[in-house]
Amino acid sequence: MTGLVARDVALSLGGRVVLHPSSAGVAPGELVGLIGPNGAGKSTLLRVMAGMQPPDQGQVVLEGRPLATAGRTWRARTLSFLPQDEVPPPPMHVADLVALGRLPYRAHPDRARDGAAVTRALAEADLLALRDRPASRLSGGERARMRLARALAVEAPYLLADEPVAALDPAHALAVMDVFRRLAAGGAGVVVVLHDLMLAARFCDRIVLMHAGQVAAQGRPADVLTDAALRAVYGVEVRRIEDAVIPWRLAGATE
Amino acid sequence: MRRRPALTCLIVIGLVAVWGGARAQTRHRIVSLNLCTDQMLLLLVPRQDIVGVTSLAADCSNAVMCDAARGLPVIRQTAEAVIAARPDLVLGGVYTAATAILAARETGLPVMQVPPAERLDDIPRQIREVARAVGVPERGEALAGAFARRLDALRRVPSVTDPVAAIYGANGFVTDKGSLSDDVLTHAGLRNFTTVAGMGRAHFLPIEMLIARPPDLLVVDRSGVGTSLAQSMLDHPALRDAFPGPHRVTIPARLWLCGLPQTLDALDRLARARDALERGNR
Amino acid sequence: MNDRRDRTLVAILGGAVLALFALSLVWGESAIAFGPACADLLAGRHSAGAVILGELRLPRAILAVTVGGALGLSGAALQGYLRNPLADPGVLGVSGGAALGAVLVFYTGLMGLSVAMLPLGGLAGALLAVLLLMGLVGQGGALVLLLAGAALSSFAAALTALALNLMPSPYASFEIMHWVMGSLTDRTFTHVWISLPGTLLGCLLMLTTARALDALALGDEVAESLGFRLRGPAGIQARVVLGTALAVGSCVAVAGAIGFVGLVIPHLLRPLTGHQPSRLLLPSFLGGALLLLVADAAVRVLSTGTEIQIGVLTALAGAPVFFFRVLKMRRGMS
Repeated sequence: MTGLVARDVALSLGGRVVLHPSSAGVAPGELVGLIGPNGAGKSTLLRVMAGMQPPDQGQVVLEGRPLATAGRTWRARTLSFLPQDEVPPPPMHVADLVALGRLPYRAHPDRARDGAAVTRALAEADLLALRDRPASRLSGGERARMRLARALAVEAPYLLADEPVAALDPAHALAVMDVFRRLAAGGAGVVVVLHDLMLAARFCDRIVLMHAGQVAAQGRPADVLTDAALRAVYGVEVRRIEDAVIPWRLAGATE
Repeated sequence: MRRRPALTCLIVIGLVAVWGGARAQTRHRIVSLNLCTDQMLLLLVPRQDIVGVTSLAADCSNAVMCDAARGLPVIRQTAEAVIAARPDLVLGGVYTAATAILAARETGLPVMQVPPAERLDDIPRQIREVARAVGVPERGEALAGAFARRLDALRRVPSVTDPVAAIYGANGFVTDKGSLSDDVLTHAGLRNFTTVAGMGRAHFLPIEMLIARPPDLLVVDRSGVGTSLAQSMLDHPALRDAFPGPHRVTIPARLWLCGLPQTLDALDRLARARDALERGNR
Repeated sequence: MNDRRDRTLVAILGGAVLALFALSLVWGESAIAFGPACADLLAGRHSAGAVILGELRLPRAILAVTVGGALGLSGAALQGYLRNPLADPGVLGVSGGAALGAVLVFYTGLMGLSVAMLPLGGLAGALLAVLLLMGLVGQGGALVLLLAGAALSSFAAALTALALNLMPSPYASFEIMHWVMGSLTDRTFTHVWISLPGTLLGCLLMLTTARALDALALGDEVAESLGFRLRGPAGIQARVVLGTALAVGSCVAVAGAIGFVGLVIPHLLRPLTGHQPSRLLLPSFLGGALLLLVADAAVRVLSTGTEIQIGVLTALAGAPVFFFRVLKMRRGMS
């Protein structure tokens, strides 16, 4: 059985229900967008799916193995997780921090393979020029890309990323979404928490819409992002307009 | 605290003459504010005449007469406590309880300050003087006479070829000239390490220096109760190995902390240790 | 490339430690003929030279290496784990807690039961201090950590002073300096034997966390997602806490709370190793050993009348680093 599936997972923290029984998943080759208003439970569901937080009930199954009993090293190699920014990075070099993504392979280090993976990740995040800079001197957006590169360096078949484009300028946001698309095209399963509905609609194969600790809807973007659903969940009226300025694709890129 | 450098104070005793110590008026409410006068009192007067001694008097690591002192009232060394005890004589040292002694004197109480004994010869004189102050001159005379006789029996004639001994105490403290224990050493026919080695004014000697230039005899001066780093250094295995058998003797500090008849026990031990050394060399 | 540089650094530091170790045996307060002393020592003769070499200088030099190494390594491990370059067993009150534990055992006669009680007392005190610290700080930042550490270390020092004042020994109250500043004078092989197991075990435990500390550089969740266990009996936290407590507790029990080694050594080495915690651990052990060997040699040169505590010298070296760090922190904040 392939894919990453969370079945009826629920979670309470400090006596408060933060996740009602919910199910969600991602198949190989699929890019899934996890959206919803602040406090809807997107990050919680993602952390449960990544095995960072054991659910009170339900279970998460990765490639047929329940995460609760799967080996840590196997999980670390199979599923790469990019959490929200937790701590300011130390003054280590960018390349050294990105190389932390190779730690799941620390038991049998392969210098050439690890080096190649790090270089690829740096290139994907547009950080090759900054590889020897102390991470403490990066700007907010550079820092976000450095953390993404760290997650990419694992080269795991599954990637779960929590708001990876929130701090990025439009060009880099588009570039990063392109990276996710390419990963999916290469057979990876990717789940991304997003706030930008436009990016979600444009890049994702499937959308999971969260509201008040549970999944309100999931499916193809056109089916989920309806006017009624957005009004109910976000409390906003939406308008589809033609003359708005929307960063669409990187200059020179082709669809 | 112990063996402070000397004041030259034969005179201090004279203070008491003002209050008629020489007329041998018997005192019945005596307060002592110093460990040494505590023990002197116990030698001379009946227990019921003592209304206060220091808390140290019953501490066997500091006081040879600790058993006798047990049960005696302990007096705090404050002016208030001393005056409230309504003593008819206050005995004290030269350095301790200065405020209490000053207060006692200002309220008109008879005060006698006894300086620390620095030589064995000081001891019989102090016994006589305190005995006179408390009103038992005959008892003092008897004790002092006995002391002098025993001293004569024990003393050795000093010679420049005497073995060298170092009195080594807690924290690496080496006892210098001008102290009672140094005088005991001389009377036992031993030369003090500090004079031979020319240590100058240093009173502290690391173990390593002591072993590098070892004296013939290591006199371990052990005092105090409980455990302390200061004393655990005296048990250092290096000292044990460098000063085996007859080269080492332990003298409990209480024997010569105060100048008392029992100080001659220290002299006796040292003289025997010296004899043992000589036998070993022969 | 990094590997080769690290290996060169470790080789240089290791060579320096060996050289100074030898020097501290050859040279001391008194002049002894080293060759004959060695021969006497090996032959089991109690000559003055052999006693000085084997029972005074050797245990002292061994302790300088193990205590300095353990303190340097603890500093590096704590700094990596707490992601804070100001972390140090002394600054955080771990050494203070250990000193309190050791004082309670040493002066109350508990040591009469067994000499092994001394390091156990130190371990208990250190463990209590680390747990209290972690509990107090929780998820708080650098400032909370330093405040908690300052509070903890002054509290432990006050309790140590109180305990010493209440002890029956007339000397006890004067020995506060040994316990809060530390000293290697007049240590015996007994001290070496009782402190060695805890020190070695603690150091090994800290060394096993090397890669995990690297992973922690980007936060707990990143480390967790890379396959490291944070909590639980075999987790990083338990290994750092127990390792520090074992090493610091055992060392402080025999040498007092020598301060600032764990702060100053990683700080001096970082320009050479980079900021990756794993690359700092072994050099910090060697650097700490080196610092204490140098400081102990200085103590012997400078002590004429009374003895200078070795901790005074490490504090003199360490305090400026602390000032520098604080200034840097202020600049970072404004």
